[in-house]
Amino acid sequence: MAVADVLIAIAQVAAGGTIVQGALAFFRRRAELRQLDRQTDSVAVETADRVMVMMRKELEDAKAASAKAAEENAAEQADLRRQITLLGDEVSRLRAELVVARAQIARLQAGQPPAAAPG
Amino acid sequence: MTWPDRLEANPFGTMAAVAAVALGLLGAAIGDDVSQGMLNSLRDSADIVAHLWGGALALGGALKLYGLYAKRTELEIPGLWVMIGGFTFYSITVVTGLGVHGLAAGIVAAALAGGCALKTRKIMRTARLVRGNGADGGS
Repeated sequence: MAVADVLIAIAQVAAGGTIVQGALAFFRRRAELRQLDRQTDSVAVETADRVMVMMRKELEDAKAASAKAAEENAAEQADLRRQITLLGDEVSRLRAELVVARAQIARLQAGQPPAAAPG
Repeated sequence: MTWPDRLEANPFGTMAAVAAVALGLLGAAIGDDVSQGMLNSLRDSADIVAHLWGGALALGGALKLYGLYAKRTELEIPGLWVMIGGFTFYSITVVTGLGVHGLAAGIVAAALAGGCALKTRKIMRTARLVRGNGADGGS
């Protein structure tokens, strides 16, 4: 029965020890635990608040990035439009030259037999 | 946090405390007849020890329940400690007294004691953390 006696002694020490631990927790950690009670709700609120601030900051960052991208996009579009206008001008200029050249060719072809062109 | 929220957040803790109160009251009222294992292992002193054990376990469960639902952690922690002791004591005595036949009750009681110990550790850690984050910056 020696093993049983030892086990019973351990059980008694465990029961007594935990009661002492409970008393110690009550008398020595009381302030800490009271503070926990007071702050549990505020901790939750604080955490939620922090998450909100974080998300808002992220949203603002995203907005700023989007605005910057839109600005760049607009600038690029304006540049492209300018280039298109220039190209359009060029095309019309070339077309006009082409018309002149065609007219000249037609005139030369028409005028070749009667008046031999010089050169 | 209202009590249904607390119950939803602490289903096992609540039931462990209810079990402690029920078993403890039985032990305090009936004495060593409540547990054959305790009767076998403690022999002559079984009755008085069973009464004391029952009283302590019931007190621990009641402290735990009150502390949890009245939001008084400084009472919940002693309750948990006394529950650890009560369940451990029951677990060891029942296995010692009944041998293999006490294993089922012993394992369940030991698991409850372990759960109470883990919960105590968790609460104390949170308390230290909160204190560490407090405005006074104490350690």
